[in-house]
Amino acid sequence: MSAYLLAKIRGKLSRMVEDSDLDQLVDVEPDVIVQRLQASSYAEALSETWDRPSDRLRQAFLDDVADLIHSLYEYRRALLLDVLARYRVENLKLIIRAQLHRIPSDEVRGHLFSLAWEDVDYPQLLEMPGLEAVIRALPWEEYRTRLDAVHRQVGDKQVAFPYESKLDAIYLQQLINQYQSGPMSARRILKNIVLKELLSWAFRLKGYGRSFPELVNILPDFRPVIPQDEMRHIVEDNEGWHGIGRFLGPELAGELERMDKFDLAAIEELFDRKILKVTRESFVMNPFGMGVVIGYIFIKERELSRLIEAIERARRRAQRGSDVHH
Amino acid sequence: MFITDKMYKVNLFLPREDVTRFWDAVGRFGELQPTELRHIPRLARYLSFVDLSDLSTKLRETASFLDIDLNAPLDDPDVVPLPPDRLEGEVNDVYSEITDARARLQGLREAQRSLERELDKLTVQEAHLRLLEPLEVDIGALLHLRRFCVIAGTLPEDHLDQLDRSLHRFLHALLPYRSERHRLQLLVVCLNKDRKQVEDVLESALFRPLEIPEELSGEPKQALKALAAKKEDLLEQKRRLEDEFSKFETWRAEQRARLSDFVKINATVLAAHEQTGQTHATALATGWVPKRELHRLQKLVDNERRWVLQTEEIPYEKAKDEDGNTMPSRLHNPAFFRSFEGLVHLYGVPRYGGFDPTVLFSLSFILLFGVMFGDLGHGFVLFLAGLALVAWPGLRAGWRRTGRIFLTVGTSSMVFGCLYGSFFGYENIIPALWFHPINQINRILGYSIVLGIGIIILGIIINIWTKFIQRRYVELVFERFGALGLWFYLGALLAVYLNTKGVSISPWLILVMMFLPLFLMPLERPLKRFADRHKQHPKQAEEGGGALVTFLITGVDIFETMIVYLSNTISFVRVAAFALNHVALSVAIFQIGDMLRALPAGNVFYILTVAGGNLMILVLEGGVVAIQALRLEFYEFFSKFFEAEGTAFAPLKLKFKKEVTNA
Repeated sequence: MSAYLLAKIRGKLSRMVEDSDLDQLVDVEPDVIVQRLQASSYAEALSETWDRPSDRLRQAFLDDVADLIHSLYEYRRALLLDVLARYRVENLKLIIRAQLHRIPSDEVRGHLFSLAWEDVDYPQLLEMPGLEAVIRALPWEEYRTRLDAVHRQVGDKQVAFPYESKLDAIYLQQLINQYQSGPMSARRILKNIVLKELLSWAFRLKGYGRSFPELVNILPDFRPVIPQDEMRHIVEDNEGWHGIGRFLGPELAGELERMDKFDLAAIEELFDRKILKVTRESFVMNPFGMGVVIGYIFIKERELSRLIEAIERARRRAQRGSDVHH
Repeated sequence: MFITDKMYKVNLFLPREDVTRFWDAVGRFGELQPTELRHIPRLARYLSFVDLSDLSTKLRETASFLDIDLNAPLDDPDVVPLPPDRLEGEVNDVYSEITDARARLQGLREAQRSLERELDKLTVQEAHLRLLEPLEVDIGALLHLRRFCVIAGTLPEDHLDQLDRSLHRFLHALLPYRSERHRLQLLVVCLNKDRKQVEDVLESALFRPLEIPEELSGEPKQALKALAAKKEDLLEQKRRLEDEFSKFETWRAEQRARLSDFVKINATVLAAHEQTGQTHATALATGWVPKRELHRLQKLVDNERRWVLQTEEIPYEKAKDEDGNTMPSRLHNPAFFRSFEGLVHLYGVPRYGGFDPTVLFSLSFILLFGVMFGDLGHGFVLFLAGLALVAWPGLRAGWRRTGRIFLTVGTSSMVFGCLYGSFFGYENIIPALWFHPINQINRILGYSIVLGIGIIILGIIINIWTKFIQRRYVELVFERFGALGLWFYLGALLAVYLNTKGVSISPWLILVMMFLPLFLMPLERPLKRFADRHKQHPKQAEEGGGALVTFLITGVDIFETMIVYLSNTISFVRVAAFALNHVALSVAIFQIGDMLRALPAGNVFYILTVAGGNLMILVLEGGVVAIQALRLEFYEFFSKFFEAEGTAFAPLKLKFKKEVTNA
């Protein structure tokens, strides 16, 4: 991988917002947030109107990442594209919901991510006559055949869940495949990302009353990262969630043990910390590997979601204030 | 021809019982645009209005159901509208017939939908049974076992392994027997007691159970025969239904022929009738009539002893009448130029008393197109296309108008093709009667600038003339494109000309020729304020900012005026650019053709390249040139004088087929 790309990532990392700064953004006014982010890479995205800041920040992040793709080739590029397929999936979910519920395309168009590395006209998909036409127009065969299978099953019913779960499954399956055959340097990070996504999804499905056998059909083939019996034990048995500790390492496992009751958000946070730890190790142990790129994307996404949360809270507070005033 | 028609406001007083007959006569007269009397408070408060909305709605619904176009011409010139009291009975009869027919149609459609649903269901069942055809077993027995349940269905191919894994805690067997279009057809066998859970798991694996009627028994082949018989019966019912539909459509066509004129004339007259104000015995109708048609209306009224016509000429300086209604603008152009009115309307309708630029627009558009796209061959193709559109039988009027535009621009292109000596891009087949633009680039550039200067000066003169007619004298003198603007422009042109000829000019002369008018222009605002001082609110009159702001605005205005005149003039360079572009594109195509000539069967490639290239030039360049000519007209010509604040004159008109054919 080119030293130029790594230098670029190091440069980007240096412009990130410190954790302490992010903590200070909680419970402050929107203007203060903008002011405090002046020195960060988000300054430009927040500089114009205060209109849909979350979408604009995400879009700014995607534009920033698009810059990296052009410096990568072959399997490295494929890996990065598979990691970023999350945003393709988010776009497709939005389009499917709009098509199913006949939401006017003007209301949806602004929320679609513009993915510079993909040659797909997402807004055009919104204009297509029906979901069948959308599926037919997708340029990726796997997405086409799998969504087509779902469409045959669902028929005219206006339910988005089967499509959305299939899209998530395709995305996660790509990451699992990359974990199996991708570059060594990125495997540990990928495995932890996959485990976090997989387990939190499985517990959510369980919360919706899905049995474990149903879950097996909905999730991707997770056996490369976790054996089926172990997954069943973790998800199905009442105290099975303690088994997650095996994936977190001794220190974090201890914290998990000390949890009084099952708390999915806390478990996700533990996984995030594990991924951050693995990423930091990767930066030191393998400074020229793909782990640096994937790690950077993870860190950046995490920072972004915390930032968006702070902004949305501030916006809601400002909105409430103005309502009371009126 | 150049100024919109002078309009008269007319008030017509007539006995109440004559209202229907009056509007019928006005419709046939075809040159009166009724005003909405209800919305003129000054008059409406003394008048009452008949509510005819119910009748009107019924007529429109009838037209919609019978597919009658209310704007289409009438067949019978002798048809007359009925007064509302008589019309009500007739319309109610027709409407009740239509309501019955609508219910009948709805019944037929519902029967059709239900039949189609049945047929769809049968088709699905048949398709599913065909999937089971390879199994030579009794379906009834198979689907109703005591301990085991057998579920037949299809599954995406790559889900089989996952499904097998997810069912590992249930006693089960997956028996695939065929694969088609990425889906496996299979039987799932499990214990009856596990059926509910297994079905949930199957659903999550995107398993799609086959729809097999419960009552079916025997082997799939026998079951298919039974289904085929049932389907035949449904198809027979469908055929009978189609006959019913066909009879219904025949009835509808008969009704359309019978009622078309009745609905059209009464709907049109009723709409006008609703706008007629009434007192105890008299009715009042108001509207606008062009001055040139007033004598015909006068004659029409003179023939009726009890009708009274009161008229009032509306002067051109008024864009609105005393009730605040925008005066309609009626264009009156010779037949040859009417095809171009649509293009002018793209920019807008001139205000009442404004200049109607259709004739000048048409002539300059034809000229600009020819200069930019001068080619005898291409022009001839455009001419032929225009001829085809004009002569093709059955084409709509819009296409014919487009055809006439093609004819004129094609002719212009042919004329300039002869002057440039260009024929399908070849510069050496016919002699140039004038000169080849590609050989004398400076010359064509100079001509295009001169052409531009001519068009700009014409635009300013028209603006001055229009303001004179509208008696807007301050604007006439001080406006950017008024008399002072013309002085500045001519002065600047003269200065440039003398400079190129090496004549030295005194700075004082330049000041007088160019800058004096520029410094006088800012007086427009204070003079207008002074002229309108009685109409303004005192506070408004005081507004205008301080001396510094006025000074700044004046400076920017002067600078902008110079820039506008300069850029407008330079803009015409594109005329030469496109004339050269035409030759350059042709040369490029011939060079590609020559390169391909070296290949085996090169002559064929050469012909194909030249033919394809010419087609591309015709469509692509022709389109771009038309757009550029339009752009020059709109931005460099119309912007000098055109005030697109008018509304088009829309008279009440009853059209008859005979007249339309004659026209």
